[in-house]
Amino acid sequence: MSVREECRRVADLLDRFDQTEARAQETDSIAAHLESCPDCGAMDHEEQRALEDVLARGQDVPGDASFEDSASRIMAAVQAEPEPRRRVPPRRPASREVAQSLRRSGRASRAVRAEPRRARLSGGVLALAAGVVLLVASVMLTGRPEPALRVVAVEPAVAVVSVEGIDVRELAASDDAWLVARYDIFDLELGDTGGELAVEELSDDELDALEGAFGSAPSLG
Amino acid sequence: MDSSKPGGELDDGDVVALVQGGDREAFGILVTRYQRMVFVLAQRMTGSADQAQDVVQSSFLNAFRQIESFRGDASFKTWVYGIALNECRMLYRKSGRTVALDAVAEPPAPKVGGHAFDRFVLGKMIERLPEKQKAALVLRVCEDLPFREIGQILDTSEASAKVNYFHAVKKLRAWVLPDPGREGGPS
Repeated sequence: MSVREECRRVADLLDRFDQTEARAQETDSIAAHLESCPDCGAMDHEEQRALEDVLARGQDVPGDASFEDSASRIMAAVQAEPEPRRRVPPRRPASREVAQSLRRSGRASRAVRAEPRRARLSGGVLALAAGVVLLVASVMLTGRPEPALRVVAVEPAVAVVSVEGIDVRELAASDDAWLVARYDIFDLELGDTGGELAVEELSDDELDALEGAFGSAPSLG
Repeated sequence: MDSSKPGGELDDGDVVALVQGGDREAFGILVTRYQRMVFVLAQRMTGSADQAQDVVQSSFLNAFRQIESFRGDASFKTWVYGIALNECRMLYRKSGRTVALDAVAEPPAPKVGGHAFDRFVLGKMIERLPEKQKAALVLRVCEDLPFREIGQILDTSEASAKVNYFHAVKKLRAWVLPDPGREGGPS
């Protein structure tokens, strides 16, 4: 492809991806061409200067006193902030012990997935999980005996929690197919592959959502 | 914070660690270091000193709120620039100012026979660039930042930052530079 043809191709791609992101491969090829082609890429000195002039125009940077005042306001707001949330340390070790003892007892095995997936809490899974909690809550509120938890095998090497009478396999079968690595339905911990638990990777907002969905964990001991 | 040790002797990472450890006063060092730069960037992005001041306030407050999530993968400056650009974006959205360049009805006719960017027209056109392209342009031209860093600030790849920048330049050229073969204005 001649330089001119390449220029036209890149110009077309640029037009096509004006407001949206190009695919990574296309982006790379556009960027490579723009960097190397003197006709398409670089601004000449005059253009650069004009841009700098225009961007500098109307710049009315306040004096130091104004910035001091601004800093004081910022710091007053900072001091008024509630205590920031710390990153959540590994949570609920007691429940992990329970999980491990269950595992040791052969009643459950840790989930394994062929291809590791990044730990992430999807809205869909959360919604499904919340639905499960509501179902359980409704069962409990209607005075029926507290449902027994059991582990069922859904697919080879995938373990999910099941509440008697309530099949939560759809939870595991949902798009992100998160594995439930914990055995108390009120205390779901979404498991990654390879046994790494996901909770530590969740943002504060996600943790809030999780806590909002499941409430505080009842004693697992 | 140890008052005998001026903030100037601490690098940003040290200061962030202090703040993360609960020393709120230390955050003032970062504010003092970077608020002017954030102001200048915000003023270029918004075109308004008042709005830039608001952006400075909200950016640093948000930076404080999110300081626990700062891991030092990028510099604090890059990080706070990214926050500031988000604040600018929110301002744009609130005021409905995001206008694609192609959506501008009719640009002023380019000066025939001119040989450089018409600065008045150029200013108007820059205002109308999409946010990401404008940000890439401002960060490159004014701050002279490498595309890698611009990519970090814009939360995109280096190549994408490059493309956004050249997109902006290409548009400005097409709109502002006289071109004997062109009638003027977008098709």
